[in-house]
Amino acid sequence: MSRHFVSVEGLSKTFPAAGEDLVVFEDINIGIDKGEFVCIIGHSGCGKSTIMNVLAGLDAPSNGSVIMDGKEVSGPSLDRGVVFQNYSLLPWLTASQNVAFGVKARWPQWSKQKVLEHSHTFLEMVGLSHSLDKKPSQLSGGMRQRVSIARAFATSPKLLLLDEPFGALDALTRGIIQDELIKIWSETHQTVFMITHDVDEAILLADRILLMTNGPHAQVAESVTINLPRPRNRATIINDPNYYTIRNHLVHFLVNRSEELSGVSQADKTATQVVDPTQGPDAGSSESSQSVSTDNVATDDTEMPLKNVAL
Amino acid sequence: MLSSLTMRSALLSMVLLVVGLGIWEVLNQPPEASGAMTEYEMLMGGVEDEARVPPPSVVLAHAWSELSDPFYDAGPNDKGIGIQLAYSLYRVLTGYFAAALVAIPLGFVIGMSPLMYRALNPFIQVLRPISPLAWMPLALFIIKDSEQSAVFVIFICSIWPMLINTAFGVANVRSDWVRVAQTHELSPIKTAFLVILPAAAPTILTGMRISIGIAWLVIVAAEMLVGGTGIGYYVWNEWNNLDLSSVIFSILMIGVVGMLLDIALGMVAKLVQYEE
Repeated sequence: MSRHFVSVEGLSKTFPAAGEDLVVFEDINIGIDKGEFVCIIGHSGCGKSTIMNVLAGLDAPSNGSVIMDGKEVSGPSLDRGVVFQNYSLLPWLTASQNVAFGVKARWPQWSKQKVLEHSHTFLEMVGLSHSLDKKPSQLSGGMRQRVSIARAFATSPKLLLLDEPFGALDALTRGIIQDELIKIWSETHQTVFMITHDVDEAILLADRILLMTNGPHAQVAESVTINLPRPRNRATIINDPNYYTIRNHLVHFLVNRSEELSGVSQADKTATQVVDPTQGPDAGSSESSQSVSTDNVATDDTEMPLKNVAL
Repeated sequence: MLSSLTMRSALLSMVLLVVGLGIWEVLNQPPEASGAMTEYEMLMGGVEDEARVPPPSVVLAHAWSELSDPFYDAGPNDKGIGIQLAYSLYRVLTGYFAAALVAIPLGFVIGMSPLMYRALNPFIQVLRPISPLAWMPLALFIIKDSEQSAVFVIFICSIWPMLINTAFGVANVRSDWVRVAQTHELSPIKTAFLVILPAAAPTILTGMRISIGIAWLVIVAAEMLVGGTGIGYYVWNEWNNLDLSSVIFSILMIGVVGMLLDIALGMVAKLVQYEE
């Protein structure tokens, strides 16, 4: 486990309740490698946000631990940048000041000039060089989220946590910002852990998608490797022969199996299954399997037991 | 449209003012002297056998003469309106800023710590509804100085709105913003100054605005009690002199200064206001 850049080990969260305690999720094991983009998908109430808060150090798990870069996560840190769903910009500061807020916290010894230049570089990356001096209230939702993303990237965290960053945006804006996120990510190669509800978004962005069963007693049931070639593009990715194989697999999981699996016995639950939908039995059921080439073989190197999943 | 609304409202205000003053003027005319005055009437200064409220023309004439020399000082009982107001303002601002110095940090502590909130809340709830003037005898006894007792009364009446609003503002800072501070590893001091203070500033300023209003209300009553100087003393002194035009004039001045104080605080509040 420890050879992953980030490893989440045996994580569980229990809320005390009258009668029996409420176990939101239990025995979550996740490994994230450096430079990897991992998305996590699950229904509401499976504890995704709690996992993210534990990773951020904002919440403490009931059991288990998170180790990043050889050190246990015990509180919030600048090493882990967070982009919240509701942007969390400070409304009394301008866009530029909001990013500079992060930069100053990261490098307190920097001169004002350097902080400003660095902040502006990242605001330019997200296409906001014309709105540096606007307050968040003067910006649209999409622009606010861009500022928030710029702030997170500007502090160069070792791990970037995105909590449904595009959840509150309309579809068109969402697409544009996804493109921007891909652009920045391919320039910086941040390690990213992202929560999303959007299957297409996850396929577009992720190297790997973690699928969670429904809570309570939620689990990470599968780790789906996305082998679609990069750079990916929103417009052309759907033409990839494997796109719908992966998509169908994910949707099938979310619609049917996330519920079924939430009831399986303790013994079966503990292992996350590594899946590449473009390989194995379920791929055979799809036309697109004809075009699967050997270079699409899953190279996921988690230590978890590799099984073929029959769907 | 807006300018025409402004124009029309200004016009209406003027009409109301003129009508109001007109009615007041007409109702308070001295009766016509019917025939020659008797020797007694001449000695008494006229035919009126009954004191009446001076009409606005008399008040305005008096106001003009007072305002054209506001800072004259002709002894303890005869000082210009400017001097009297300056004394009152000095007391109000001293007590008010002393209260801010205590209330804002204490409000911060109460707002940040549920323990302190629960521990101090009973005291606040009992002390807050006490009329500030009720403290006066105790203040006079302990402080042994009427001037400082008045300042103390201002202090004690301005502290509550500021304290409660600061605590409320600090306690209700959006948790997202606190999380931003946490994920950026800000120290508690930096979090307080860079995140919580600006976030709570509009609420704190609302408390400060309520406080200055209350302080200005209370100073008049306090000065009526302690005497010597100040606008409250001036009102009472002119009542004792049976100079009603001075009383009405000073009432108007109290209103004008109170309005100016509120406008000043309103402008400061605008500076720290933010839109979410």
